[in-house]
Amino acid sequence: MSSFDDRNGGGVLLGAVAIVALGSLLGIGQNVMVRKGEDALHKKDFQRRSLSWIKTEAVSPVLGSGAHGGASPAPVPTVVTDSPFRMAEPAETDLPAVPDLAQPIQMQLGAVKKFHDAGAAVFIDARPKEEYDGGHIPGAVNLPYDEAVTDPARLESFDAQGKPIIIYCGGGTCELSMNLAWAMIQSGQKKLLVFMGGIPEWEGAGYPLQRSEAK
Amino acid sequence: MDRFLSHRWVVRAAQIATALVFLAAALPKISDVPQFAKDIAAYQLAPVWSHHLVAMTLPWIELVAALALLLKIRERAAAMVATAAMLTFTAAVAWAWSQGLSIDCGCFGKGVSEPVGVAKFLQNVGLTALAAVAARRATGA
Repeated sequence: MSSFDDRNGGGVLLGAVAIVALGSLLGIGQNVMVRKGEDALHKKDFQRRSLSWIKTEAVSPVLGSGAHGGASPAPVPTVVTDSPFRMAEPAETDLPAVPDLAQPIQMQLGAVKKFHDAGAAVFIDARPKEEYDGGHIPGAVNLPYDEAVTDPARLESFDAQGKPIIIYCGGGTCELSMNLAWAMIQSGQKKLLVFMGGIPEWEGAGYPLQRSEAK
Repeated sequence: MDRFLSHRWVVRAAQIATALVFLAAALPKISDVPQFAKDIAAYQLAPVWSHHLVAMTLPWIELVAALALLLKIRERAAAMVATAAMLTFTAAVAWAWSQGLSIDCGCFGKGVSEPVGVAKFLQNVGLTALAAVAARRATGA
């Protein structure tokens, strides 16, 4: 006789379903409560690691965000902008203005290309060195996420000369870029942009790649 | 062996141990849902749309199962849930390990750093066995 069967087998199964259902309801309930509370504070904590969007022309509404995970206080003060869009001054440049946010901002290919052409941003390739060597956006610096986390000094000493930092990787869900962007924010960097499309999108648009010489 | 593992004290001990492990795993994840969502995403296993949903619900399921085990409310059902959860976690860890992903397990939240690897896999196998014992129908023998 197996110890798993039960005169009340259906009851146990039903109980298991009930536990899963109750847990799910509580979890969703927590999320709803958290969001409500934080919307009221004009501070979407649950979404603090989600991204705003930079489209070609405009900077997104700003999701104010303070400390990151409570682990270390973000050096960048919370920024809350009420205007939904901030258009760049046309006389100045046609590049979108990048606010000093305590969170990364997503950027799409069109804007990425503009920044690249204007030399107005520092590009960071978050992929491992082998992939970087195989072809990267011209001028990009390689800063593999795995190395960055083990050597935080590299993040702190990184000097973007006040320019926005555009991080990219191999596309997809772009975890490398996101994680690196958060790590850089924690180490005090500002103006972090993430090019979610990464190399596949860049290459797909027919833009050139730069290969490192074999050493 | 079978009789020993079905002994009500053994089953009860396994239930309490499983409950404590699940409690320790659930609480840090409940307090930092976005971090857990990131940990799930790092496995590159589940579709993107499900990351937040799983991150929201899974820790609470762990918590409810743990409390049910501790308080002896539907404790066999709770142990079954725990066993199923452990099987899933073990499979996820095995997959990540086989893919050579150097990621953090995320099992107990961000308080402890636990790289996915053979140690984590064996720990999960052990916890799965523990939960399975907790799910046995106790006999007085």
